Amino acid sequence: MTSTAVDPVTTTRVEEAEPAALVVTRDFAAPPEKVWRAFTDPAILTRWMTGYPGWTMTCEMDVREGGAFRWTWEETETGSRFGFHGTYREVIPHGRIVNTETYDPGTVGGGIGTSVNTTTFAATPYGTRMVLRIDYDSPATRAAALETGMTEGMEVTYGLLDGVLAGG
Amino acid sequence: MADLDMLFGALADPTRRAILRRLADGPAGVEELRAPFNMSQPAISKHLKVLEGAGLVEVEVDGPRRPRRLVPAPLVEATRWLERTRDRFEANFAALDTVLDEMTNETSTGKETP
Repeated sequence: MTSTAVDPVTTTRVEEAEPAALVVTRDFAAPPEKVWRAFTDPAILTRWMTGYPGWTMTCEMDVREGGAFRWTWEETETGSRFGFHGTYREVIPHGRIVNTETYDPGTVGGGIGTSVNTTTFAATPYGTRMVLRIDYDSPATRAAALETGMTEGMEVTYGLLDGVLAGG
Repeated sequence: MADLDMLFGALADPTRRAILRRLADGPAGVEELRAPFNMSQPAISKHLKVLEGAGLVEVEVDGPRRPRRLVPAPLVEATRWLERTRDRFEANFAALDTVLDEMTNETSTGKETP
């Protein structure tokens, strides 16, 4: 247990960092072991990272160093699809994941290339602080991610969550 | 897109963010901006150049003091992109809050109340 006397970040914080990174911070009211499971167990991940109603998330993950993952979102009715894939460089259970992440434009389009993502989970008095650092290969790629991949393509994810929340 | 790069580059530095906060109160000369940071004149000028390059700061032409002035428009634009990105993550993580709750009930382990 740490004794950091800081307010929990219960609404996601996104900041830019040198040289070409985005840093996403969020606290969860659950211990790191549980948050880790929610991030690494496909059956649980697809419950909160799904997509719009009508979209289905497919998820393959081999969470170990050198293992690969592939996430795909597909809209059954139209056949529209996009996703991400990558490999795990470092896996420290309940603590830290470093992986590459490449955007698959599918039928949706756009291109933001490959980033290196570092996710850390740390115990706090509130539960767990999750920090996701996304390092893009250049500031231009980060700008492209902000402008396209993270907004248009990924907006699919918004609606999905609304649905989960409504049903929760 | 190039503008957005320069903008994020400019905003990534805490000294430059502090300069912007100062300028939000009104225009200020270089010496006035330099003083609170205990920085050399060339160092502060370098920061101001970066801010000017990003379109966040302008030099007022009136008078020998050449005060710097905040240009808020690019900030508003940058905030919009970051906000949308944040909203997307937050939507996911809010759903995760719910899922974590359900996991607690499923495993019926001891609940930690803060």
